[in-house]
Amino acid sequence: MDEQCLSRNNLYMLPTRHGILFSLVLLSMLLVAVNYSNSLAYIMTFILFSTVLVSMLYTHRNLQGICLSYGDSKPVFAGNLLSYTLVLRNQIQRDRFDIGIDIKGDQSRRRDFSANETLNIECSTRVKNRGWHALPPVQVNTRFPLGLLFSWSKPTQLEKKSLVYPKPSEWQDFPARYSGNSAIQTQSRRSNDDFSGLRQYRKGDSPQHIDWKTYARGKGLHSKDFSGGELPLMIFRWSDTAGDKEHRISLLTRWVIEAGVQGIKFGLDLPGHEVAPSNDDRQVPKCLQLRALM
Amino acid sequence: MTALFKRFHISTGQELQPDRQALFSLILAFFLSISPHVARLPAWFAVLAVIVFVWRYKIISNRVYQPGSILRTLILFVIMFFLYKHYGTLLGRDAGVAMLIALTMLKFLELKSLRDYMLIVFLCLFIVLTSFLYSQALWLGFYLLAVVIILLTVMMYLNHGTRDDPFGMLKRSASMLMMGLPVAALLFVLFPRLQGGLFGLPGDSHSGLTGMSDTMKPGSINELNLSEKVAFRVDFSGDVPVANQRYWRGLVLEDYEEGTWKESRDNYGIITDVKYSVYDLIEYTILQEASNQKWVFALDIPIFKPANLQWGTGRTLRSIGVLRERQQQTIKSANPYFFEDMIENVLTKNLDITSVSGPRVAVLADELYQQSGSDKEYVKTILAYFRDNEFIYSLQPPLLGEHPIEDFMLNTRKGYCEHFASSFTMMMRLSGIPARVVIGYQGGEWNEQGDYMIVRQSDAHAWSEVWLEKEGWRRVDPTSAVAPERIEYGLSAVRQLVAEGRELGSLTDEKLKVMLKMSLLTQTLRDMTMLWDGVNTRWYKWVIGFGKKNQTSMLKWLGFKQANWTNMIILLVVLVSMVVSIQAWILFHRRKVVDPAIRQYQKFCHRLMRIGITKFPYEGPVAFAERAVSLRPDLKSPVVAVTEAYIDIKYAGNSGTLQQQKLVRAVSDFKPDNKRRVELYD
Repeated sequence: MDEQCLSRNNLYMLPTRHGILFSLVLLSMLLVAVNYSNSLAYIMTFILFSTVLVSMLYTHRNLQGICLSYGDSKPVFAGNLLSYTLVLRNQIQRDRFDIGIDIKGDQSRRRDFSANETLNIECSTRVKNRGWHALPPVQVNTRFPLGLLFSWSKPTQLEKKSLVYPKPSEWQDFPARYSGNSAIQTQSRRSNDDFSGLRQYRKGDSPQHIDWKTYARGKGLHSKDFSGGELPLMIFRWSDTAGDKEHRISLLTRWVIEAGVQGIKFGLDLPGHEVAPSNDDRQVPKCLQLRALM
Repeated sequence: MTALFKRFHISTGQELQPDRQALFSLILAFFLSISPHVARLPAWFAVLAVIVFVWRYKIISNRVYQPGSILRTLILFVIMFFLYKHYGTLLGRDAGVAMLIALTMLKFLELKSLRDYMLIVFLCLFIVLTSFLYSQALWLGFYLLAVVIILLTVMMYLNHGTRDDPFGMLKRSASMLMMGLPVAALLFVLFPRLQGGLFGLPGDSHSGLTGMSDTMKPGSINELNLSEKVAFRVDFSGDVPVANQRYWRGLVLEDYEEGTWKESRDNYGIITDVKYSVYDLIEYTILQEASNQKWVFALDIPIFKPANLQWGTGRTLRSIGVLRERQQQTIKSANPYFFEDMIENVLTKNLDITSVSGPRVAVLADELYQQSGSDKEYVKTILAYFRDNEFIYSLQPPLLGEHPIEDFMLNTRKGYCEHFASSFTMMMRLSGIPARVVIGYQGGEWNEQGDYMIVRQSDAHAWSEVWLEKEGWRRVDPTSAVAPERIEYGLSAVRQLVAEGRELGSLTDEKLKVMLKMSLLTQTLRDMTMLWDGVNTRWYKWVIGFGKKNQTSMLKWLGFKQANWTNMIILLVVLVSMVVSIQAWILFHRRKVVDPAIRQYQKFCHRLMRIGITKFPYEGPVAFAERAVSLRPDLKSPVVAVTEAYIDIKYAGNSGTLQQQKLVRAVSDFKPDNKRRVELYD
């Protein structure tokens, strides 16, 4: 399920402990009314009772028609914080009050949002393993309006996965066959000398290239552009690496990142997969994804 | 409960910590709730309240010591001791309410978690309920309804996470309560009622009230001070008798001892022989105020009585128990009538003149009887004697001396109804005609606003009944010979005429009507009081007085053969679920009112979707436009135009028709080419 829309099929309701206490209060009020044959005492008891009945409708209505889904999240490298967005969409235009949102493994939140609003809950979690990371199950609940009743949705695992790239290994030189290339050698890693300016962020830019300072100033996403001279074409092969599988993947990841940073035209040659050499925007994410899912 | 939820892996969220504003609103709600009780509480409650709330204030401002459970128990015992000293008990209504209020105040000292706050709200609701044990007046009902709404708002505030917009909460709790009213009304009408209380009506549910005195001693007081308080109200189901026929009989006084008229204990409940014509029957319902007495005032002569009343002396009506609260009785009376007691010694009793003193009064009676030929003539002679010998109707008569009857007849000649009734009756007895005094009310004011009659304490009256051969007991009102205005227009008219220096009985009817005509202001004022009285009377009749009897007759009317409680519960469940379903339908299926701007924008999004650019739910209009332009730079100008127009309306607050039109035009101009779909990289 991509999106869970709340309806009576997946909403439940029970009294809170205050609700149980209140029902005892109502009962004793009724006893007083009966014992004194007091019409206004009857009326007050009945009004309170029927208000609770109505509040039951309000409680249900407060959750009904909210649709829960996860927004697209950007891939991260294993070991980093994965940030993702939970979206509460108003399927039925209605003001929502005091919605409790519980994402497994995260602190609970309580929010209001209006009929025309879509509520985005920003969350983050540290991811350890590469590959597809399933986002945690979500449950929403409410005690609105009087706190006497508690309604909650069936906790559901929303089908949304986020990609986690392999953790890049420590820097290691590119495969020996390229080491003679003078162009590379002059280019030290991430040297600022090569920084040639900022450009609009494009999908697929490495997150490490994003200029977060500009973003923090509210000027939108920009990527640092690096320029280099005439660059050679590189093909990273599985056989270029040694050691255990994860290490080899890590190393390839590092190379891909570096090549991407330096704008080198590169390709991959892995058992079963081959990526044609290129230095366009999509090359790095494409290769990283391939590695993540290996 | 929370543990249970946890067990089933259901998150309950965290409970909120009430803030300072919650505390203040709770204190306010508390004082609103106890306000109807304040006058009844012992005075030292004020001291207690000051101590508690100053302490509370210190706790929040300076973090002064918050009392622990031992100290609180100690305080509680001290309060209980004082309450016991004040009330002599800790049980019952008065002490119970005081105890409840004291406990609630103490609870303020230990306020910590949300649960404590909620508990105080519940206690306040209960305190509100107990106010109704003292009064069920309409205004109190409305006042306390408002208090209940405020308490519900406090409840809402306490449980609401964001806690903004308390005014919206007030509105919401009021509308919720209003929505509950239909179900509450059904419950009120159909919830099976018990006759009497659960454990019998508690003895303390009524406090002291005063009604009419059961003895009469003319000349003992020199100023008649009768209040405008309502004695009873009457609904007539047919024609309303004219003023001089509206004699509401309360007590028949037959014993005369030392100037005091008393009810005779011997003749209580004696069966009377009654003859009447069915065409003369009048049916009416008396709604009598609590009097703490047993008398029920019926028009002369009551023929049929409800089962819960019994006959008193001389065909008067008595309630079986003391009238501690308002009560409704439907009675049928007939006038003209013939009635007499079935036992001979009643007449003998009504001839008793042993305590009439003074030598000259007996002589006067003899003389006057000689002048008239028969008993019937003699009645007329006495009335004429009053009229022709400068007897004056006065509300401030001189005190009467040792021989009250003689003193009045021959010396003072000034008095009100009691003097005339008493002397007239004795003049009858002195000449061997059985006679007795009747006290009750005479007249009554018609309420046009509610079509019923109001009889006030100031309508209290005394007159005579004379027994004549073949005619039985006949009513004679000697006051009418002197002050016909009292009979026709009531005591207030008499007061007005006396104040203006007019002589009673001297004016013609037309002149009187002109004189008594009210000014516009008085008239309006009177209409308003009457309207209010009418509303209150209906309130009592249909709401406060609603009980088992009304339920039974209503169910019979609805076609139920038996009005047993299973029938009622079934009917109740069916109707309540119907109402709740309708309400649910209204709440959930209310037609969605979509903002026209949003509709236009959705149209725009839909067109973009067709060329492969879908708006994500989390994306704002600007971000979406940027993405769309980056994917299809050729559409830049129309996309920007639509987005700008939309933002102008939705976010910049320029929602005029001009802006709307601009948006509509921009959207209708936007027709991207379907064939050039954007291929998205995934």
